[in-house]
Order: sequence, then C-alpha cells, then structure tokens
Amino acid sequence: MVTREELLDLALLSKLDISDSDIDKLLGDMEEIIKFADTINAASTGDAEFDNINDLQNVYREDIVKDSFLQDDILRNCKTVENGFFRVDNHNHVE
Amino acid sequence: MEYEIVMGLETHVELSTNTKIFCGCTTEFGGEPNTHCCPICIGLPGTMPKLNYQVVRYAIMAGLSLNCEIAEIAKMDRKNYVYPDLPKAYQISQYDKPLCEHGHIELSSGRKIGITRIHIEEDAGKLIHERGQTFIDYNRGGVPLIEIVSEPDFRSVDEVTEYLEYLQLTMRYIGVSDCKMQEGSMRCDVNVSVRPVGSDKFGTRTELKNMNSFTNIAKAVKYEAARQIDVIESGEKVVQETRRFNDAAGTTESMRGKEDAHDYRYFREPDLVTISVSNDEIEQIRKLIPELPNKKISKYIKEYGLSEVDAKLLVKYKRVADFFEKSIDGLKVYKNCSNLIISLIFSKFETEEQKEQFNINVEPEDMNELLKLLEAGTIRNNVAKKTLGEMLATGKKVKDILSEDDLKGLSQEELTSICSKAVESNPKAVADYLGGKDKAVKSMLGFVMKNTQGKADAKLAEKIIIDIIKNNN
Ligand SMILES: [Zn+2]
Repeated sequence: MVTREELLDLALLSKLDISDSDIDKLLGDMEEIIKFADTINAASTGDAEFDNINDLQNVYREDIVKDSFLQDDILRNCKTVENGFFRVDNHNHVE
Repeated sequence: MEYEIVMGLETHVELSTNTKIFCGCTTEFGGEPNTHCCPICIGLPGTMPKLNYQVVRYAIMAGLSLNCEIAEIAKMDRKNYVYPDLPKAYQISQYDKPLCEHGHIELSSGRKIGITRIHIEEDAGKLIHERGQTFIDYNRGGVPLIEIVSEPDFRSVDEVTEYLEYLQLTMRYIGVSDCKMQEGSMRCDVNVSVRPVGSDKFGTRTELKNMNSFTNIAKAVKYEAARQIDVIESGEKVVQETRRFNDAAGTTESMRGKEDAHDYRYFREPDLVTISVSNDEIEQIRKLIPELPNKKISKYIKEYGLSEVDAKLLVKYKRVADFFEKSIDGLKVYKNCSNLIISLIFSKFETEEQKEQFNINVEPEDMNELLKLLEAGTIRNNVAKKTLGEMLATGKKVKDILSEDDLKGLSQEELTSICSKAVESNPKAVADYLGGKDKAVKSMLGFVMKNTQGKADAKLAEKIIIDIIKNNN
C-alpha cells in the first residue's frame, strides 16, 4: 500500500507540484507500478545463468566528440541557477 | 618505542580521451560551467550510458605497463552515495570485477610495490562552496578515470614519492594521461597507519583524501604518523576515519568516519553490458605501448654511456627523450648530445611545464648534423655550443650559421704549421718552458686558438707545440 504521505513525500523530492484532485488517481497509478515489480519477481528463471536478456557483450562507442547541450538547456530543469552554475541552497546535504 | 609507517595509495588518474566515459561530451579542461554536458552526463532519467572503448584500451595499457593481469571478464557497478557532485546519486565504477589486477612496480631500492587493482570509473562534478551555498559545474562529471590501488607496501614518504613519479612518468609515456597534479588529473588518497618496528600486524589506518601535490603528501603523512603515535603512546586507540589535510595549518583533520564497501550498496550497473577481453585484443593493445621510462634509463646508462643523473633528466620528459634519440642517429658518441641538451637547451626553459613541452625551433635532424661535425672533429665544442645557441635563438640551420671555412675544419698540416708559428713568435715562452715553467705553453696555445678561430683541438695543439720545442732543442 502506498500512503498519501508517501506520495506527497515523493512528489516533494521529485519537485513535482500535485494538486489535491490528482492524488487519488496517482495513488492508484503508483500501486500498479509497484505491483508490476511483483510480476517480475514471480517469474521463474530456473537455474539459467544469464548476464543480460539480449546476451550482449562489449557494446562500445568510438571516442568521437559530439556537440554538448547549450548551458541554458542543461540548467533548464533547475530552479536555483546562478552564473551558469547549479546552485544548492540547502546545505544540509553538503559539508 | 620505535614505530614504522605503513602506507597504501589509491591514485586517480584522469584519462586523456577526447570524450567522456559514457557520452560524446568533450573532456577538455575548464570551459564555461555546464557547457560540456548532455542529458547522459547530468544523469537525466531515461538516458543510457554507452562505454567509450578508448577508456578500456587506455586502462589495459596502464595495466600492462604496471605488470598487471588483464581480466577476461569485467563489469561495471553502481557505487551509491548522495552528494551534489554526483547528479545520479551514484557513480558508475567497478567493484568486484576490475579490468586489471595483481600488478607491481619495482623501486630503485629493489623493493617491490604491489598493485592490487586498476579499475575504470567516471569522475564527479566540481563543487564550489561559497556563502553557505554550493555551486555545481558538471563539466568534469563523466570524465574517465582509472583508479590505481596499491598494496600497503610503502614504508617511507620517499617510497611514496618515487612510486607516484614513476606512475606519472609511465602514464605520460604511454600517453593515457598528462597526470597534472595541479590541474587535478592525478589525485591521491593515502592510507596511513603506524606499528611498532618488527611487528607484522597492521595498525588501524586513516585515509588522507585528495592529496594534490608531492609536498602536501609528505607534510600530511609526517603529521598524521606523528599524531597516530601520540594517540597510541597516550594509551588510546587510533580511530579508522577519513581525514583531510589542512594546507594552511599543516595538520590533518577528521572529515567523516570511514566508509566500508557495504555503505555504498554496490550493485551491477544494469545499463551496461559485460566487458570481455580476448587475448588477441590484449596483444593488439600491448603493441601500442612504447619503450617504458625505466627501460630507457637503463639503456641510456648501459648502452649509451650516460651518467645516471643525465639519463634520468632526459627520460623525465618524453619529448626530450624522443629528441635525444633522433638526434644521436648514426653517431658513436652520445654524451655530446646529452651535454648540449642539458647544459644549453634546458637553460632556455624556466618551468617544468616548459621542459615537458620542449618547444624549440631546432629539428632533431639539424641537431644531428651539428653533432656529426662535432664528432668528426670538424668543429670544436665551443663552436658547437655557439652554433646551437644561435640555432635556438633564430631557428637558422647549421649551414646558415657556419661558414664554408668553418665547415672545412682544420687539417693536421694546417694545425702543425700554425703551432710552428706560435713557437717561432714566442721565444720568451719557449725559454720559460725550457726553464721548467710548464704553464708557458699556454700563451703559445692562445696564439694557436686565436689564429684558428678556436677550431683547434687544444690538447692536440699542446702536444704538437711541446714536440716542436723538444725537436728544436
Ligand atoms: Zn555528456
């Protein structure tokens, strides 16, 4: 069971604004998402050892420079930005 | 009681790839903040990392140069910790299957230092703490690193310094990193403990984080060992923890308790597949490794007859060693070349950086031409020095500087004839010499040097003068 408080905590951490009218629908969605993990957990893999589902190894890229994103686009999702830097104001997390 | 210091090193080396480890952003140093970034390296949800093969190749080159075994199978893991320099809240690193293991290097004392492992990982972003706020630049985030972990085999700061210089030089030679401590492309954590001399048990260690200069390492270790001995002598126990060196105070201070591996909740990185390295691949990569500096030094001493000091000076800078080796092509005497480089060319440079760059307007072919004239006795050492000086200053070629007359050299007949004139025109010096003043020869020698524009071999001329005097009397 996902509680209302947990959902609001998650929204806060994810910096999402949720209106009261959405909460019931979102609680249902979260429930479904978590149940999906149960489905995967329940799958029987037997003794089969596999590394990844596509049986891939050595997937590489060449060392060729591509254009980076514009600074404005990189910073777009961040609410606190200064002089091209991400800014963290809550220094509880920072020494 | 007498104590012994025991140290182990974790050295982070930034690789000189063009692009970051998991995306195509440039690894160039500096730049405006957050301009070398993309959704992958700032960790946006839904992005997928893709491993840069050059990182694997460079790490294997480093491993082979440090006598490591290369893993057949390696994988990437997530190391979880929450800190603003990591946008994903985890670092992609290697935990239990690193690319290289079980290496070693040998110090000049003959002592071996074990290399436990070398793994690849991504660098974190740069944080600037100011006014109680933190400013983040992710340009460095995702730049590839290798972490070289040593065994706790060090017993003195000198050994640590020699090891780090060796790593630095080796990484530069094989071209995988510029290892600039001041720019942070080589950083070092030092694990320090002390124990009574003769004990075979290790004491509790502390970890000194992010040491960024040889001098600071020496200062920090010295302070930390003395601190630990004080703690033990006063009957207390050393606490296992991470400490930082306070540069201004010259002391170390506690940062946080020491993390163990389980604190990082390592698990397999699900977005990256297994790295499998074949023997063929290893052999291909081995071919990319040039002659290593320690081999070069012993070759210069044993085969080229250079002194140990000179050999080390030349090998210390890869471009200098390259220049030296090209310049001595076809010669029999190698000392002339090393002497000219060390006495004349090095004096043009003020900083280590400049020696590293070795930016001069003399090509090795021109140096070779000059050295050949010197070796054949066509020109004397002083002329060679003057000529090289002018070449360095103006970029002119040997032939533009030396006249045809200079290049003709001096024949034995010409020299003998000038020596005869010297004896004839200095009767007083001859009399002095015959009277027992050996030094009187010098004034006749001066005459010879003046009249040959310094081209004469002074020793040979002296011998001829004495022979003439003896024959005359
Ligand atoms: Zn990127």
